[in-house]
Amino acid sequence: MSAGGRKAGQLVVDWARMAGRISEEGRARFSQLRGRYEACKTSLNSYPEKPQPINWDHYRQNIAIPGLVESFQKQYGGLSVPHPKDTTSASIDKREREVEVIVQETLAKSKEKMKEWQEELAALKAQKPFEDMTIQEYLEDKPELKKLGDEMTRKQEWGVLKE
Amino acid sequence: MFSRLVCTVGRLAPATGRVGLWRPLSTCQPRFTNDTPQPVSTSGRTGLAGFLESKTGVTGAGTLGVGMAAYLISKEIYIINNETVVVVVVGGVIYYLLKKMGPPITQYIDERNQKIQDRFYGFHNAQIKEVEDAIVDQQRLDGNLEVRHDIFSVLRENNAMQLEEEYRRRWHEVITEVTRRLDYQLEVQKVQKAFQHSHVVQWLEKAVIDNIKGQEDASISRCIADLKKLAVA
Repeated sequence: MSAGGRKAGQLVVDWARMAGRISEEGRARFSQLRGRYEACKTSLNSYPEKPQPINWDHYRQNIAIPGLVESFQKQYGGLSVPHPKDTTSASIDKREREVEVIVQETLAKSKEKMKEWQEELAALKAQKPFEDMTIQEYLEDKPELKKLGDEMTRKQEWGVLKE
Repeated sequence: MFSRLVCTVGRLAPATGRVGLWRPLSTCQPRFTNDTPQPVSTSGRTGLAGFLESKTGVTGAGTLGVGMAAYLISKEIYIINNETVVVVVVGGVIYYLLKKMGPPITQYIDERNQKIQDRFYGFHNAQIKEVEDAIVDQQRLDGNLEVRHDIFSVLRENNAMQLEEEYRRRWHEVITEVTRRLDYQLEVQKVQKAFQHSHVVQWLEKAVIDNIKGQEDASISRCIADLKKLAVA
């Protein structure tokens, strides 16, 4: 359990920036998350930050039973409320590690895709201008189009484009 | 400078017999001098024509053409006959047609060419744009993945807030219980005191009434006698 768990209420969340990065499908769950955050915050703020001190003098003066107030005060002074056990931090960390793995995989895949696309883009841009190209040269690396062309020629559909 | 030369030629003129002809009429610059500026060629010809123009100037080609024609015709190397008329007329018609019909036909063919080119290049550019858009989109998605840090910090914050809230609730409970017990003691005391008070008052009342119980009639008659005495007085 890290000490960061003690410092609640110090996080500044940039909701607008986060919302800009959520996809369409995730918007509902994002608003759920935000709702949970706001609910936690309001219920936290409903309790005062420091425990209210008890007015011992008032009780000491008014209660006739001798020693009652002193014994109460002694016991209260010796009392220490334990912090609640942090059970969910571990699961959050575990989840974060899983998500990190998935994200790295996604990033690697997207890098590959980007590389493919960059190659495609370079090939497209390096193409000879159409004025200097013959049909055969154009169809060199497009076998499906070549096949389609041959099929149409065989079936005698000349495919004249309407202006 | 040349005006002075004209003046000196004028002084030398008597030898040729024209005495008064070249006397300077004014001392200003004369209007026509030999120092006319050469015509500047802006046609920008290259190759053989450029070579000719650099050597013979702007009028060189014209001079060559006219001179050559004059030579051919005068020396009867080319004889003017009926065919010449045909050549001239046909040449003129061809020239006229090219001049008139050339541009529209060129324009029409260029337009068709441009349309075909646009069709091809339109498709090509659309392909390029598609790939570029995909790349930009993918980069944006990769950037979006950064939101996971924020999400996890929010989750941790939620957790921390819940723990803190529990802690505060426990304290609150403790204080509530302690104050409740103390207040209970206070209340018990208060009730006891009130009970004692009312008991003593009742007892006092009862004691007083018992004290005067037997003597009620005597005391009432005495009071009436006192009152009569007072009324009389």
